[in-house]
Amino acid sequence: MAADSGWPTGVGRRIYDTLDSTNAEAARLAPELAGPTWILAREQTAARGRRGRPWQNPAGNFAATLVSRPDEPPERLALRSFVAALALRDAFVAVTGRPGSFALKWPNDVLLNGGKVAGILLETLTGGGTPWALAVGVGVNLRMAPDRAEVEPGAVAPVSLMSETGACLTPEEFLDQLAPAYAMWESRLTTYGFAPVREAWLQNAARLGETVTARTGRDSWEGRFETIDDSGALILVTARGRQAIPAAEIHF
Amino acid sequence: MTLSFKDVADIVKIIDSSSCDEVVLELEGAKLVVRRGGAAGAPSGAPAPTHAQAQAQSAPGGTSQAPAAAPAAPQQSNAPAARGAAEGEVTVCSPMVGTFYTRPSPDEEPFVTVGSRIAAGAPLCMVEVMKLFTTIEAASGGTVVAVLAEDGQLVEFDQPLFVIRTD
Repeated sequence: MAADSGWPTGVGRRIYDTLDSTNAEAARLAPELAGPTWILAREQTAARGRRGRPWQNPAGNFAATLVSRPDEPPERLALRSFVAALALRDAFVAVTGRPGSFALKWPNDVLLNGGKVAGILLETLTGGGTPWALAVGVGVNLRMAPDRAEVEPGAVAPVSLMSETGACLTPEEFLDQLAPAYAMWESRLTTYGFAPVREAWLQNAARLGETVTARTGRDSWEGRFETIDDSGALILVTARGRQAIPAAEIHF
Repeated sequence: MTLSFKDVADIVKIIDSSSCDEVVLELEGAKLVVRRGGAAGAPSGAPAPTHAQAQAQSAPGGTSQAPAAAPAAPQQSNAPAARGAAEGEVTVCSPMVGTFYTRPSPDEEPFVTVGSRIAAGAPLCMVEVMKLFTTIEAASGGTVVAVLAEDGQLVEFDQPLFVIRTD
């Protein structure tokens, strides 16, 4: 679905030349925000991915965080992994016209020609007993991908949007695509529940029906990727039976 | 280390006033299961709808040969993770199913360990579900007396994670 419906109503937008990290700014701003707000930095000095991993953020790449304060329990907040992945895919398709090039890896990676073009980091912000806020951090290799040597062994190879598709956008232009796409999927989730989000995600899932490996800090399961359940958990059919996996890293 | 009747009563009291449904506590030679509204069919009028299976397996030798009935503090080093909540202590439970992390990243020190002094709002751990990371914070200041889950472990909703002795 094209994400060209203009900037979403009621959503704020803050653009910075430099920030430590957009998720860190989200945490600082959350208590005073009147509504959901996108925070974009042209440069991040302390960009990070999940589990504190450094995230390469050279100039020209996209780094932004949507901070909002949905009054929902954590397992419901976590469904934004799928909302963000679908929104990113829509934005990519809108700017490249190549729906067949993009696939989704559980729960929220977006693959371009099988490579990692974006990363999403969701954090609940709990500071000092104030109501919980949600930060959805999005990094996109618009122009440059990090060297393969800089990513973890076994991780999906990084690619950039420009090198793979020729599309050349500024971070602000990309945000103009992503923000309405996110608002549309968020609205579907809050209006109709997880079912339509789940269905759309499964339609674009990478390796559905194939054998994958899910690893947590302590365990590893190999099995056929059957589906995701109505809580978003990965369902693997393994030698030990059917496993619902709520948190893991997936390896192909 | 043995459990007295008062220990068990204290634990039941703590669990009753918390949101936890079940606590399993394993000590050397003893296992205690406290379950809210347990399937064991507690009489409906009973004041404490829990059942305990503690005394069954006291540590060999019992209390009679205890070398020192004096201050029990050093016991902590023997079984740092096997400890329930007592009076003046609170149990922190997981708000969600997910992966439990004791450290902000694999290269950093744990947020807290047994003996850590913490202020209200201090981060205790992170729980990840579907790439959503939630930092669990201390509701009140105190001292960490037990860490009940291991780094990287999958934890359930409401599973006890820490025992904090409050100030």
